Amino acid sequence: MKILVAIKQVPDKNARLQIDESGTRIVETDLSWEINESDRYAVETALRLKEARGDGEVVVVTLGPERARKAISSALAMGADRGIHLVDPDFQGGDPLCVARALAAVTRAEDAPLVLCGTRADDDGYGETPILLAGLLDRPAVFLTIGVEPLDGDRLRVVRELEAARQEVSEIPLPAVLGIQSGIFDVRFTSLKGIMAAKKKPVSQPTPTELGLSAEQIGKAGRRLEVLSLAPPEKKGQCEFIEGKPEEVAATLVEKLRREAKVL
Amino acid sequence: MRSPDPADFYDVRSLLSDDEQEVQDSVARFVDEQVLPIISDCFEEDRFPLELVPQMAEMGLFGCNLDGYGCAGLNNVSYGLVCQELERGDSGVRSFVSVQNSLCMYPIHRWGSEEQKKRWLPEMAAGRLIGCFGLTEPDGGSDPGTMRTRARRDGDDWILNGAKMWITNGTIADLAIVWAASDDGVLGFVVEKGTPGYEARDIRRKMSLRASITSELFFDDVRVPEANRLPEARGLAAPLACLTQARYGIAWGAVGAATACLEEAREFASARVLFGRPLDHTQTIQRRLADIVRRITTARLMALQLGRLKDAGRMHFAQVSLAKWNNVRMALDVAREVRDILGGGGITLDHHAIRHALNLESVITYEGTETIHELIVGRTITGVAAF
Ligand SMILES: Cc1cc2nc3c(=O)[nH]c(=O)nc-3n(C[C@H](O)[C@H](O)[C@H](O)COP(=O)(O)OP(=O)(O)OC[C@H]3O[C@@H](n4cnc5c(N)ncnc54)[C@H](O)[C@@H]3O)c2cc1C
Repeated sequence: MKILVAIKQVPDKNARLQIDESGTRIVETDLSWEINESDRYAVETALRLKEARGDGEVVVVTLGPERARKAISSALAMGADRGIHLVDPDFQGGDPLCVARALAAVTRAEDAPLVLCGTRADDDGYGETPILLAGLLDRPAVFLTIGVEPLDGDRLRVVRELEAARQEVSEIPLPAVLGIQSGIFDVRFTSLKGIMAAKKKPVSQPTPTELGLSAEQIGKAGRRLEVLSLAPPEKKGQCEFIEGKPEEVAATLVEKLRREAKVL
Repeated sequence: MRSPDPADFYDVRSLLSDDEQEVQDSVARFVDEQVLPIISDCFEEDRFPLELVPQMAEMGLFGCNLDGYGCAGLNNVSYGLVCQELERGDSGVRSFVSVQNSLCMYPIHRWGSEEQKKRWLPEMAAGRLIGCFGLTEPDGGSDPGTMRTRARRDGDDWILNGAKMWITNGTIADLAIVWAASDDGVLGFVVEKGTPGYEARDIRRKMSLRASITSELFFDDVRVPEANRLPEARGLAAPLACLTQARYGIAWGAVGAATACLEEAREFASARVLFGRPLDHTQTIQRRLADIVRRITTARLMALQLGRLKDAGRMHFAQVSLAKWNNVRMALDVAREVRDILGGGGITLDHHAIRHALNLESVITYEGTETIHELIVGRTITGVAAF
């Protein structure tokens, strides 16, 4: 089975982000980049599915500028077989619908029965791509997936994470789109041999025309959602010291965590 | 302009290729997730974490800069980065990889017969065979020319007699690369575990490299077949070439240990409040941190340029000596300095600095003491050996 995994390159989680003069974008110079976390889990899920079935192909696709090539290389080093880089300038600068249109075109061109995406990007955090993509392809979609198991025939058993650690188990037919949640299992360590092997794996760069897309459907030209401003989080330093004997302090803390923070 | 990362003040990482960065990131993640959580306990318990070997093998760390025979075939800068990240965890873990790679797989790869390479290298790359390297002897490691271990020809075999001292991995090794004097000069043998007359015993009461095994090897009329002699290795130059490989990795590794200490010092100095202000608001602490950053930055640049020279086939062993000396001295001084900045807590294994400082006492001695490296550089400058 061919599995297409859509990955996005996002700024390193520990990066200190700065907003540019326009107030609508982050400054990209000197940033370090990585594969979006839940997308890494999507790659891992695809590799495990392929290993479990003993055959198939894992193809990673990313839409992004030249620098995003590194995200593809990382996924190839993990074990993906092939990469597709939507690097053409016309693809860039779109909103989630534009991205989903491009991914839908790739899915059709590749004739991939299963598409995996991360649930949401750690940078702009729309979390819309897998759902829009499934809609455009008229396929069933499962969001917040925390488990996938191949069944006989073209069906999958899928576990979805609900609130408060509850789970929903469903069976879906292929073709389908899954949004994979982070933390569902350990992502493998990239092996050094994998890094060497990745250099020889093919990465194609189809143009919008080759995918049957017109400029107005994608990128800046297709964008209908406009960002008006970005703002850094407000600094609200609030620190409360609990005084008393250790036992009392602990009891008060537990009480506060339960009643005020509602985390216990 | 973004302000520089204290741990990599000159953004040396930007001089690395994407692949090299990928190697560094992968090993860094391994160290964060698998080494750091257990390493203080290993050090305290005087135990090498053998359980890490399968994962390290799976990642392809063993023989990673060798070609073929199940090895990853990376460049030397990548190998340096592997050492740097591992030693950010612990010098003992890095030592294990240095020995397996540079001291055991390298000589087989370089001087072994095709049959020997096929027999041992894939198994060593897979971590199923562990090696150790026996050069140093009880009376005087700095002067290996006085080697007492002897190899005598006996028909198709060789008979080995003697002893080796301070041998990393000795008791867990499946095979030992043993250097012995013979009528044909120094020769290299692969002595397999279980060979009659060959025994390994652990050296105890170490206060340094406690998460690494150090042993003595004894050879009492050990019969080794000619098929286990490395045919192309002749003279002391062969083991010394192995040392050049390992020293190269150490020059990188030391930067990792120092970086771990710096991070610990920064965190502590910003959180610790004394005399009404955080410690890092004082001039003295800032000067000390600045000086640590200065030393790490120069060492980091030195390691990278050494690696670029090695990859270009232009690295001279005296350049390795200068880097091993400079970088290990730097790391040892930094670790001691940070140990002090941490105050009383700094003497416990709840912090990393004391462990690194103690480990680096070995690292500055093995693979050529600091003095020996000064004398190697001195000889290169003057043309006169003054050992
Ligand atoms: C933890 C650990 C692991 C090791 N692992 C291995 C291993 O796997 N394989 C292996 O073969 N060896 C190993 N060694 C041995 C190591 O390489 C030697 O300890 C080192 O070479 C020094 O030898 P030595 O201990 O005999 O000291 P010596 O050579 O006796 O040196 C003693 C002192 O004299 C100084 N000195 C020497 N020559 C001169 C001179 N000409 N002028 C002035 N001063 C001089 C030295 O710098 C040192 O300070 C290991 C050592 C340790 C501590």
